[in-house]
Amino acid sequence: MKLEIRDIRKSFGDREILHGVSFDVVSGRAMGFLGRNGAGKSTTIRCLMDVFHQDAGEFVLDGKPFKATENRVGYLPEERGMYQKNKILDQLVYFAQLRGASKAEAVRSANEWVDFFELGEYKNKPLETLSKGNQQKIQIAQAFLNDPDILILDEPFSGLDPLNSQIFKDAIANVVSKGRLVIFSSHQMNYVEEVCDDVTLIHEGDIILTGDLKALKRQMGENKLMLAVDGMDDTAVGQAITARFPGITLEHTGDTLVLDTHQDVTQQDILTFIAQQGWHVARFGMYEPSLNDIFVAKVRDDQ
Amino acid sequence: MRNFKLIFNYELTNLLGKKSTRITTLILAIAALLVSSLPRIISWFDSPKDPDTVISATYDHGEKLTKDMGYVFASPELEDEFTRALGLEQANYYADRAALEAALNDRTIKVGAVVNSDTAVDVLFLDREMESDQDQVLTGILTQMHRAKFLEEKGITPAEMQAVETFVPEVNVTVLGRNSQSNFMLAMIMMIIVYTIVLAYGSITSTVIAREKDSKTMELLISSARPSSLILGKVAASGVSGVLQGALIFLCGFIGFKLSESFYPPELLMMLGGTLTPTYLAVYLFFSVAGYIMYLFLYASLGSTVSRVEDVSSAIGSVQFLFMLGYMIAMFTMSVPNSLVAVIGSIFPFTSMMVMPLRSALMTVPALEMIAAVVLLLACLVLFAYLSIKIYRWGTLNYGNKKGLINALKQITRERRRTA
Repeated sequence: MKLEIRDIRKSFGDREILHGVSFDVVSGRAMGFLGRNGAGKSTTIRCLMDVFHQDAGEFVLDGKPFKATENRVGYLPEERGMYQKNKILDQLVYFAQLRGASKAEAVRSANEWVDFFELGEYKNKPLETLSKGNQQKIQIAQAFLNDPDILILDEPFSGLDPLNSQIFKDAIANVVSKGRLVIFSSHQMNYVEEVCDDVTLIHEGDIILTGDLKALKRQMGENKLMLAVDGMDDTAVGQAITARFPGITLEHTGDTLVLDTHQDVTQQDILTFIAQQGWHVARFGMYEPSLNDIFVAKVRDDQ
Repeated sequence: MRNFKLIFNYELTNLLGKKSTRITTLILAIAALLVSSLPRIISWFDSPKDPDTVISATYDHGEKLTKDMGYVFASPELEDEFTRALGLEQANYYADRAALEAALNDRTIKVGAVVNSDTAVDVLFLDREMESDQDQVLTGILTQMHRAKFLEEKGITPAEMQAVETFVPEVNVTVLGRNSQSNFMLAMIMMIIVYTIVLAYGSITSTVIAREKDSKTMELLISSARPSSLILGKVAASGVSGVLQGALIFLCGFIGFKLSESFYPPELLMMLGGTLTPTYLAVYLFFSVAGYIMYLFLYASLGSTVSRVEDVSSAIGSVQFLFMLGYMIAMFTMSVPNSLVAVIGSIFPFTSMMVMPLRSALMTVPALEMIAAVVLLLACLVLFAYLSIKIYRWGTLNYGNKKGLINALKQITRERRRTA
């Protein structure tokens, strides 16, 4: 399956929030949809789920117009909410049936996911009797009901402790491995980096980057080397290198120096210089940026 | 209409499964049973009177004429007669009026009676209190004593006298149109049932929808099912729940009535039995059901305009007022069913559900007025169903400040123009 998001525009009042959002998502690869708070992630997802009508643009699934209610879609909205006073299993069965499952299938699926999130003992209790964290797990479980072909999760990690985050990551990996189409929005880069194959960055309603995460890392790390020297200040190391190789630009990321080289300076040249200086190298190699680095760099470029 | 049945079943199960619904229904059903059984219950405490007791030697007055009361009799014969008839052995007797007044003044007694003859008594109070009605009790008893004496002198037995008094001549009345006198009671009872159900379930419908926004369940629902299925399913569930509750209460009232029918006064039976003609039932059912559903759609729209359950009561205030206006016009219609107000009220869709069945019970409604009322009510029902779906859809993510119905419609129109 391939879901194409094509030139989506959406305004509230006189203010345009999405300025022609376009990117593709393919099945079998988890797509991380990243952006700062208010960048337009949830608005894009709500347009996709037909909660809002976009002013322009279209969603296309395998060449045909996409409509959420006509496909098997699992959805976790940013605004979490289910029936507080109803029994957990009853409402999970209800939501599964709303999305097209038969009663038997819905019951089986609801039981399966409640058990997966280790909440089987509460399934016949009202939702309001659960702790906030466990309520969050039930809300996530409802997105997985009925073995959806498409899974759309808006900020799924917010409110989850590390243990539950791991359970959730396993669930996503399982769905991806079945060849399902998965999109989830987040501003928590570490989680996205662990789970996603592809990423799309949105900034102030514009897509500023989209593609394969590994390729992006390679691309953004091209001609860059990382260097950390024991017993020396980064600034002093940097000054020595730029004095020797004037065309190199430097970036400081934590305790590591990133050297943006050019075609006249090879990795071997740098190594020879380090040896001549007699520095004790703590780290040296090709630089691969973290998703956070990519995000920060791209947002900075866009500004 | 995919999912309509599923949504309807789920909402109906929720509504009927609520403890508050079950308890309220049970209380109202028991109340209906008790009220309609009242004539039988009263009969348990009200032993039938033997006509002979009318001239029994003593008259029942509790302690009204003995406690804190003093007497002066004009003659020993009167004293004997009254002491025997009223059981005054425990009362205070005084020689003359002056002694009686002295006793009143020094508060030995509170009330005094100077019996001048068996038909004339002076009653004296020092301070007359709210419950001091000894003069009225005495008036009643003296009247009965006089009546008994008179019958005895004329040789008439109490049974004969009662037969004369309770004689009912055979007068046959034929009303070619509607009989307001015999129809209004049942029509009013049925109108009150509808009134109560609309108010109760209208409010419940608004609350159900507002709660979905309050708990943020709405986004999940709207992305899983069509708004039309959702709103129609919810309104249908509220509607059926209300009808079931009303039917159960009515059934209990009917059972109580049937069990106690023989204890009901004939006049009341005539009033209750007069209205249930097939035509009246058809008019009543159509206007009640169509009006009820129209109001539920209106309440659902209002529930969609707020984001918090606590805002529901203020949002539905205007509709409650409109509905109560209908009730007031209906009450007015009872006395003047053919007035201009009643005619307009029976055609205007917001009031016709209560006024038209009532008018129909009290008089023959002209066909043109009936057709106009039916068409307008159906048109409004369809219009509000459509609008409630639009407003529900619009209200999905309008969290925050509550919007009025008019504002909602304006924004929907504006958005439609923009996306067109």
